[in-house]
Amino acid sequence: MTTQIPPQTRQTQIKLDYQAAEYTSFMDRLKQWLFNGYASLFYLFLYAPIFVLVLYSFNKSRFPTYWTGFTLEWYKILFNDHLIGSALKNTLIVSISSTIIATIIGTMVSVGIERYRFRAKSAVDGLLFMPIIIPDIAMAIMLVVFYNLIHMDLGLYTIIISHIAFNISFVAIIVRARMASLSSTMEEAASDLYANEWNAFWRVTFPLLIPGILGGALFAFTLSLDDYVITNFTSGPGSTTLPIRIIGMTRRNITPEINALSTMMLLTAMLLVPLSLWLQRREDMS
Amino acid sequence: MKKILIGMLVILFVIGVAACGNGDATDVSGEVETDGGGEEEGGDGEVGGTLYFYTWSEYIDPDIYAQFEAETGITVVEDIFGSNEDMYAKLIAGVTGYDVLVPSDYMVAMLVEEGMIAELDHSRLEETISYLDPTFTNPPFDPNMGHCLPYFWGTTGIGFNWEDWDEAPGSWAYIFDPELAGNFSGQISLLDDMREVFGAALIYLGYSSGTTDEAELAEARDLVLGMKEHLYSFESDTYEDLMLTGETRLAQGWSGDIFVAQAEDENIDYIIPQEGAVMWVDNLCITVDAAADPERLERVYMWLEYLNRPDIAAQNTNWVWYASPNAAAESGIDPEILGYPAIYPDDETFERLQYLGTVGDALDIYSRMWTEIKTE
Repeated sequence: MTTQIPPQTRQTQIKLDYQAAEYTSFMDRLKQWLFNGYASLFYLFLYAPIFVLVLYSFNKSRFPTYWTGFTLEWYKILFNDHLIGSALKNTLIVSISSTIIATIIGTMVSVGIERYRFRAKSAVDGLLFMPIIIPDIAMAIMLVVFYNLIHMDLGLYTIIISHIAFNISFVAIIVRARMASLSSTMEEAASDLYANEWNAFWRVTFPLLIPGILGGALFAFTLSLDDYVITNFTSGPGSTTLPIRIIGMTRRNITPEINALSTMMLLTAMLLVPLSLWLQRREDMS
Repeated sequence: MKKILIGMLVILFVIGVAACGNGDATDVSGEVETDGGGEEEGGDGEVGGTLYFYTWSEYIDPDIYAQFEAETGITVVEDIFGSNEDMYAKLIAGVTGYDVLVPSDYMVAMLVEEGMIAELDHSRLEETISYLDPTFTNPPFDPNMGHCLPYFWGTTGIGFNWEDWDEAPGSWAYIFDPELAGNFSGQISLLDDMREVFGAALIYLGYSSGTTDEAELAEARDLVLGMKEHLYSFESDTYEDLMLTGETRLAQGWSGDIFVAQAEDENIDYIIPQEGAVMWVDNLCITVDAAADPERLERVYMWLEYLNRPDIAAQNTNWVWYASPNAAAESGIDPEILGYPAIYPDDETFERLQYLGTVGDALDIYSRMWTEIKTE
């Protein structure tokens, strides 16, 4: 048998190949198109509400669904709102102090668990996950009952303690992930060079952990900043935070002042993220 | 890496300073102190100290805090709750430290029952009480104002758009009669509030808005189910927005909310239907722990007196846009507010208003039927 193909068939073959090629390129284009469409929709859903929110913060009407003209009035009202000011102050006191304390304790816990052996290690390990797994509302109620039991008056302090309690777990998990990616050879090398544990930690382990610690701290700060459920339950007289005030405001009337406030918070977050990335990158380079 | 750490600390410090800066700026008028003490604030007033006021958001002219502090040296710290139930949960959890609360009528009865608010010493408030409209001095939820002073009051009626009407829709039938509701099918909203919806339906049927009779409640439930096909949705927070955008044409709503919408679009108006409507009163109440401490109690009575001083009550009403039970304040209230029948209804309309009384164990029947309405 020869492999000679009759001219007729060959032509058909070429035509078929050609069609197949056209078909594949059509499929490719379709896939490309679908993927692009999906991606655009995805980003649209993600960012369109933010865009609308920002847009309506400049709306003359006091209703957020009804465009009547451009104004900066709501920003003026926002910056002159003493109640928002004091709520912001409370929020920052809580977030900053709980972030600092939770980051220190969380880092210590993760170093302890990753580098040392001790009894009940697996129990500590498991317990660490508890605040992440427990629903906020359950944790909030437990905390209130506990504070009540030990006769601790609710206020800013109880909010801070509660935030530290849940933030430790989040910080520890992030720092541990970083820790697990580092081999202990560096520290062993340090010991070989007569560094004691203290020096080995501060000169070798800690610098390597910094991206994880920063990431954990930033995460803790964000969680603390917008926590409502736990904060609402553990707050007392004089400790109204920003989320509590915002929710209270929306129960009455949703005015563009809330949009303006959200826009400011958004701006802050947008500044914080590149800042943290920049800090981490610098660390990686040095 | 040390540099990085220092950088972090500097950033936190800057944020902290910014926060405090913000706080300091508010010192000028009505700074709301964050920590317990407050004693150091002093001021040149006679009493000084801090008073913790637990209230609704935007329910007082914020300037009043500064004026009060200037006169008495007492700093008022405002904390807010989103609903009566939120506040109740907080107090039940054993939170102490609040001095004055602002619960609504039915919640006053519940708080009295739980022993969480103190009795009012009328001998210390003689002048204040003389300012009040006698209509409000013996409410059913708190006989003879045994515990609380009325603060603001309002009604739950119908919001509508003049574009659709020559004569105001002065009956609940426009919402509850399936045929009339059909004119605005899909453009009617009811409050997402069990007691309010039942209250309106019961009033339309000619029953008491706080009935405990299961058969009457079943009738009210069927009434709501009968018009549900014409309902846009149950809305409590955004119904006035929906009216402004024209998505809804009729809405069960609270007087104050609809006036705010009216400021945007003058075609929007509010009416108390001829069958009557639910009225509510928010009150100033003293917590039992404030009453147990003579110093705190002193500040509390000064605050209650101050809020009811005719000029202050008028100033507050002009800011909040709800009706004040303070009769002596009327001369200072904006004529536009006073002349507005939906805020200050005439005597005849007033006769047709009812409180949502406490319903005791019948609350379970309400809940069950409410669930039936929402899920059917």
